[in-house]
Amino acid sequence: MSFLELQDVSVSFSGFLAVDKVSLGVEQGETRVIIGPNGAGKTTIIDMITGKTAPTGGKILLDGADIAGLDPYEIASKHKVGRKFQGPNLFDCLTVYENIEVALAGHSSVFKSFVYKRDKAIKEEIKSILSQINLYNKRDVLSTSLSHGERQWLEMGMVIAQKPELITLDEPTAGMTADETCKTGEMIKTMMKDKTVIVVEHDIDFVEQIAQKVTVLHQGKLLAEGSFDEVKKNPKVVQVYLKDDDDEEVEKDA
Amino acid sequence: MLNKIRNLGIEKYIDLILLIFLISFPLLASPFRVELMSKCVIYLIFALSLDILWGSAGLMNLGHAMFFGLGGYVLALSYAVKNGVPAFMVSFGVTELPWFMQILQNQAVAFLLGLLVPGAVAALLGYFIFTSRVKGVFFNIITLALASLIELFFNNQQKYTGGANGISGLPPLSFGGSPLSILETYYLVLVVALLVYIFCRWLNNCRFGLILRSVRENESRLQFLGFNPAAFKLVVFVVSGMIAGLSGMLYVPVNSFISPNNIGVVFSTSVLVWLAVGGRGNLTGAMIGAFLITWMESLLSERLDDSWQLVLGAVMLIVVVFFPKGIIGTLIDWRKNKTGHQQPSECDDSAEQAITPDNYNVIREKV
Amino acid sequence: MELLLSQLINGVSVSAMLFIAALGLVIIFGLMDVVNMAHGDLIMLGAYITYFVTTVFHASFFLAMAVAFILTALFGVVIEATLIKKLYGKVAETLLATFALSIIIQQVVRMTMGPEDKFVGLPIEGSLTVGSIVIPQYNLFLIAISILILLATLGLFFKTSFGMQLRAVTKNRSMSQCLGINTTRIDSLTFALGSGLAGLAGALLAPVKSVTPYMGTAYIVDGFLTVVLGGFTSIIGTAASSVVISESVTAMAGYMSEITARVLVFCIIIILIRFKPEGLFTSERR
Repeated sequence: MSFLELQDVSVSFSGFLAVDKVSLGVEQGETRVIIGPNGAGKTTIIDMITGKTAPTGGKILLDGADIAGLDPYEIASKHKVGRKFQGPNLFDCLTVYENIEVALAGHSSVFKSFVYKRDKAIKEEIKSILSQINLYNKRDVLSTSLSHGERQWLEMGMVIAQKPELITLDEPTAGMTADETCKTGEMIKTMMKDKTVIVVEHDIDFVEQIAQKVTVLHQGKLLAEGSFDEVKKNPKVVQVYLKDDDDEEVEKDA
Repeated sequence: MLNKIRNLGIEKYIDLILLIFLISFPLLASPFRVELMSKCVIYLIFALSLDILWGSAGLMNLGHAMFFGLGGYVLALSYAVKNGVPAFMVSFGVTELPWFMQILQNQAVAFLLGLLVPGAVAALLGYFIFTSRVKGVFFNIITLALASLIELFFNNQQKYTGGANGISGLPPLSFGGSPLSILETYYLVLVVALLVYIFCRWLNNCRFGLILRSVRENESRLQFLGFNPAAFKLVVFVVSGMIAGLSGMLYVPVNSFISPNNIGVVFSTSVLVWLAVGGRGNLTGAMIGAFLITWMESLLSERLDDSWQLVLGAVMLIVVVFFPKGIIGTLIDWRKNKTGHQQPSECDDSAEQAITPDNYNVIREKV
Repeated sequence: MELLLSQLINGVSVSAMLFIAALGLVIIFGLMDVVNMAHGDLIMLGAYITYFVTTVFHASFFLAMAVAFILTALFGVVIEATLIKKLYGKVAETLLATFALSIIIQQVVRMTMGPEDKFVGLPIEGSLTVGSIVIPQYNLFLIAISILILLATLGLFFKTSFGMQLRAVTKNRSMSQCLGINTTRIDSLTFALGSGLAGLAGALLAPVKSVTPYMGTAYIVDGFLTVVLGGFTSIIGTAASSVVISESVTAMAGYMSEITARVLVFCIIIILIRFKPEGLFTSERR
């Protein structure tokens, strides 16, 4: 069994079937990219993995445990899942340093929040993370003062600070320049190389840069899966991305 | 070290000035005014209890006086029943004290209950509200409803609470049998206030306070970082309720009298006004707001008499629309601008943004 | 048994009163997402206007109802333009500002009209006797007119173009603007409608209890609870939850003090909302 396994996962919102019996498996340490046209259900799948939405059918097994329907905070702390939003989604009123500090793993209970001390080990840890995302010099700056790209990186740093086993990134390069995108790709490959990473993305060059395996979704269903090259050549995928109104052809082959 | 002192926000200077003023006040004032100032200091404690809830965690309790009144009534009743069934109960035909009054005859138990009863109410209420996925503004409505119900209840249960007349003739604090003088009471209250202040500063500065501010600003993001926001809100709500109960208990021997006015909507509105005018989230604003308005009220209410409430409403409206951060909040921002530090600008209340009817969940995605 | 039956029947008229008071709130709070803490005072103003029209000017009660509706609606336009508009999206500020406004309105009324109770005579006197149950005719009138108002509001929302625009704006503001809907005007009209309904409620409630400057406070608390239980945005939900709440309180009040009954109902509401945060009745808009 894979590290993360979705078994026939479905979810419907007031009658609208957003995700339709999707099954996929991600191995430990793999970097999987999910692509697909808008409305395909990519973010909804992330929502279900991270607990924001409960599936109406199917199971989500993480390292053997069924996490479907659990509260987000439980999935994040107990099952060690980190999520980066389309965002960037941070704490605007806090400094860069404090944003990372909040995210630190192991200090999220009420009790721990009273006994926490910013000791040497913690300072080292935060410094290390800030260096990896190139924001150590700006550590006392309010996060609102950062550029868009820097805010994206800050959020990535927060996710790393969580020390998760599974990381979900929702369009991490949205709004970035080509340089920033490339830098982000390198960050993912270095900072998250031992983690299991699921990325939702649109930028095809970025996908090529980081993906070990690609899953393609379309209208809530799994369309294709494989390496970047395999998926790129898959006629169904090509059809969907260059689609006219010839839906019937795709349905026939599916 | 000097740099640290220089970087202490302006609000801490104001706190220091306030402390020095309060310590030296009795040297300049008559005992009558000292007694008034005792009440004012008690109100400062009450204001601090709301600031950690509203200012730090963003939970606007529209009925905060219910905790004040619950603590106060517990102590008042314990004084009243010390020597058996009190006069006001006898006049309603009560011949024997019910069990919940009997336990109040023990002063130590009563003091503990004065903290635990408001704490328990906060715990129960908080549990149901914070673990629910209902809209944020529900908290405001429910606290208003509860305070108004509790007020009605205390008015109604004359048999046990004295009804609208309240409980009067309450004795001052005593130590070892002899009552404390006005001066001694004043300094005792001041010491308690100082301890509460230090506690609140510690609460805000430790990680718990950091998480509270994060809850206020972006609760949903916090969930995905592994925090259970409901637990944090519950803890601060209970602590806030207990401190409010403490201030209510101090009020009883100083004022010698308590009535449903101290437990209901009007008094709850007052503390909201203090924080709205003074500013919230920095403790100083709560204290300055309480201090200024309490003294303005006692000085002007003779003159203005009837229209004091109207003036208060007008002041509150002007402050909320033009100076939403209150006096101290605006001062801190101005100072930060001047010294070149960056501005949080509008981020403080971003968590209180309107949620559209389409997403009932407390979880909001910032895209 | 008869006590219970008579309580339940009287409870229907209490439900009607609660519904009328809460209807304006579901429009402003549920649909526009504006917390107007002065809503109860708009009800109070409606009651005082009715007092003026009937007792001072000796005009008909029905004229008073119309005048109350129009005047409070106009007042609503003013409030929306000067205050609410500036604070859209800022829940805390809107709450505090309308709270302050509520204090101001109450005090101005108290200072000009005096704090003592004013009375408005029942426009329809007498009662209907069915067996041993006595029902005041005015209560029947209240029930009838509340049903009328419910139907009229539903009609307005679902059968008129204004209603359609209103629903569009509340569902998706920016899209509505792109489609050319004047959202500013819709906001203004919607707030006016909600305020007018509050004024109308005040007119209808004036003969039932006495008219005082502080009468609005009770209605705003009950009104909010009703709207929340009813599912925030559902008009029918509000009607249904008014019945549920009022009947529960009235029925229980037959066996215990009214305050205790209200406390119990309050506790039940909190527990209910915990498990069904979307309210008892989902919106009819879906």
